[in-house]
Amino acid sequence: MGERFDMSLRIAFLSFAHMHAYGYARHMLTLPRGTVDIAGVWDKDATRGKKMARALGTRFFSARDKLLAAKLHGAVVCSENTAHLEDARAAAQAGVGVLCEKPLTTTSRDARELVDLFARARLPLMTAFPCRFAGAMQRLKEQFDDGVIGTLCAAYTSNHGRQPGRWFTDSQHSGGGAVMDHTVHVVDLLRWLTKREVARVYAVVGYNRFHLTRQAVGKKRIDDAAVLTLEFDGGVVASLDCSWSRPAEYSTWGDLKLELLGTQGVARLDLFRQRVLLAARKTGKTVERCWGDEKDGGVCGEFVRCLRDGSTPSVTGEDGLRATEVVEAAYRSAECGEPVAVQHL
Amino acid sequence: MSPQACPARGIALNPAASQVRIGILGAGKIGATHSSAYAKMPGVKVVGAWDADVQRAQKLAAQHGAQVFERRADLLRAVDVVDICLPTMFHRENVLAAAAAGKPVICEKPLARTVADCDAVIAACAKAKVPLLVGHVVRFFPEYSALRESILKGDIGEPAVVHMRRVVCAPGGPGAWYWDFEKSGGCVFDTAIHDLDWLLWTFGRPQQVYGVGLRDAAKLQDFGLLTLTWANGLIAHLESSWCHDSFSTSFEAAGSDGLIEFDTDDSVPLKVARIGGQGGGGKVIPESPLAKSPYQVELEHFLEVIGGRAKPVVTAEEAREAVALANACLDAVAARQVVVLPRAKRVQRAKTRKQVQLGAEHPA
Repeated sequence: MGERFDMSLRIAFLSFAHMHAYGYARHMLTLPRGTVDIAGVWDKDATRGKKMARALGTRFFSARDKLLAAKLHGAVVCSENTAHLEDARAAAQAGVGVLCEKPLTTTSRDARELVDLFARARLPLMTAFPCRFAGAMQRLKEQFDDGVIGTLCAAYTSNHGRQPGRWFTDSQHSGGGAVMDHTVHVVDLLRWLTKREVARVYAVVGYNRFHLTRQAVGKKRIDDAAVLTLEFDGGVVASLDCSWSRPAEYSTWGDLKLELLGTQGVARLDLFRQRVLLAARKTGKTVERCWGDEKDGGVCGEFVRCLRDGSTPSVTGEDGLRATEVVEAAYRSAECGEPVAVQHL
Repeated sequence: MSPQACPARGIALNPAASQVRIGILGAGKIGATHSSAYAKMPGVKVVGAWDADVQRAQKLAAQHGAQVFERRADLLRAVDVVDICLPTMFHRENVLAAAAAGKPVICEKPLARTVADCDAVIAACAKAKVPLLVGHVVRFFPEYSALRESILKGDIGEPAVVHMRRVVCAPGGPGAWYWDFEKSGGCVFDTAIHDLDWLLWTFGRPQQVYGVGLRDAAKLQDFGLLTLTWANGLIAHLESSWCHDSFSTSFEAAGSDGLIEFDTDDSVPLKVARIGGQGGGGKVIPESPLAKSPYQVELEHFLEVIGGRAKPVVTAEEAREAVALANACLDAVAARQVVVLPRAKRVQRAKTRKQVQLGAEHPA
């Protein structure tokens, strides 16, 4: 091995089940030569895994543990939500740091297990919350920390989406629908801003409310409409619409919006607002295309930095755990019809 | 609107004169808005104004060539229709006085602070056989009626999640009646009631409500987030605020087969800017003009109803229902618990259907 090769980090990709893996892989490849070496791809879906390995110019491994034994520094886990635990656990046991797609796990117990496992092994565990790294969010955080809007009192937020299809509507793989998929980003951003935990959650949840879901699940059911009310320690109140309510005909996939009401002002963030409008005969549609900075770059940069210098990621496994606790509380609240206390593990 | 009066059903308005004489009780912001709307209506004239603050009444009267009345009773005698534009806590007393004088009443929303007060004024007006029309003006905003018609036509399939946002600046300064929450009910009662009324009008009574809020009169801060659910699974979420920097409303309704949305901030067809010279600093005046303001459409409709030529788009009973719902929201916020509402009678639905057609006749 040459000097330069020794210097580069060997990172493996465990599954491309979640489409965000493509983004992370692309960014790893755009890092300066010698920074990252994509050591291999493993995927339960061998066809998909082989295709991705070819595209990334790396090897496909049919056995996860073989890949994990290939002198790795880090692994990116983008399997189905319910497989995160097993894949990340295997990585920890092999001594490999992990960047895990959100939600970290589908239960807080599983998340706690991972957090403890990586802590004991002194390995970095980072939850992929890319929104923290978006330019507009970083500016908002700067100004918020400078006290521009004073102390936060309340937030009105949304993370709408189009029903993503595939395994996302099968709770065996996803652990749940829209609430599982779209609660954690906003919860993480609000936790990041307030440095407080969510104490109480009230959730109203609808199942198979939208055409795209009905079409996808047939007689099975999955949550696709939800409004959450969150109360933080210290009294901040917030609401979040995390529904998969965007029809196929809508001009964009969805949104992430925060309206923050402070003692001195109001901040409104529309994270995907940097966009152009495109009307094309080819597609017969009018669509919006984002041109803002890619958020995935920040996630990859942070993970690579932590693998290199051994520091703790700015977005930790514990952040993933706390977000999952809120998801759990939301489902519990929806079931009992009352606000419930978040149980912290 | 039909130019022909229907005296058999309607109230004979000042038969001697060709004018409908309006008396304004309360010369504040809404009193001024209504007076300006009346000024544009042929055959209608604001002839009298009364306000505890005489100077304010004088200013309004001077603007419209009306007379200032020091005694309410004198005004009630001199007018055909009484328009109550006073703070909520004075509605009961003044509606009762107008009814006792046998005068048709237009009353600003909310009809009253409590359901009991609503019942009292509804009973008094029924007994006196005078119409009682409540200013739920959002029903006359073209974007809100368009949204409703679109939903009822089935454009978005079954509605699933509806958002209604209504944020305004702090109304009045410290010490203003708005900030006495017992009297005004705060933003959830006074401001969100527009959206609650729209929701009742469109979907009927919800099954339950939940909400969180913040209020601090000293800091001029009042804010609420409400979540309403219906038996059919519909979810509505409302943001209500008295602590924003400017007025803004928006709505979004996502349904099984489509989505419809609106935002005042995106609906500004005209922006005129005064150039501020080097480095900018000019002032931009945004406008969204309509041939007739929703207030004028509303008040014209109310006069048609009073004249017996139209059925009300909004009834006093519906205004009472909005008061009940807004109070349930306040209860939920205070108790930090879900409040379950009693089931509505079936009649309401049929009524709502009929009014769709009525609403459609309204000029945009």
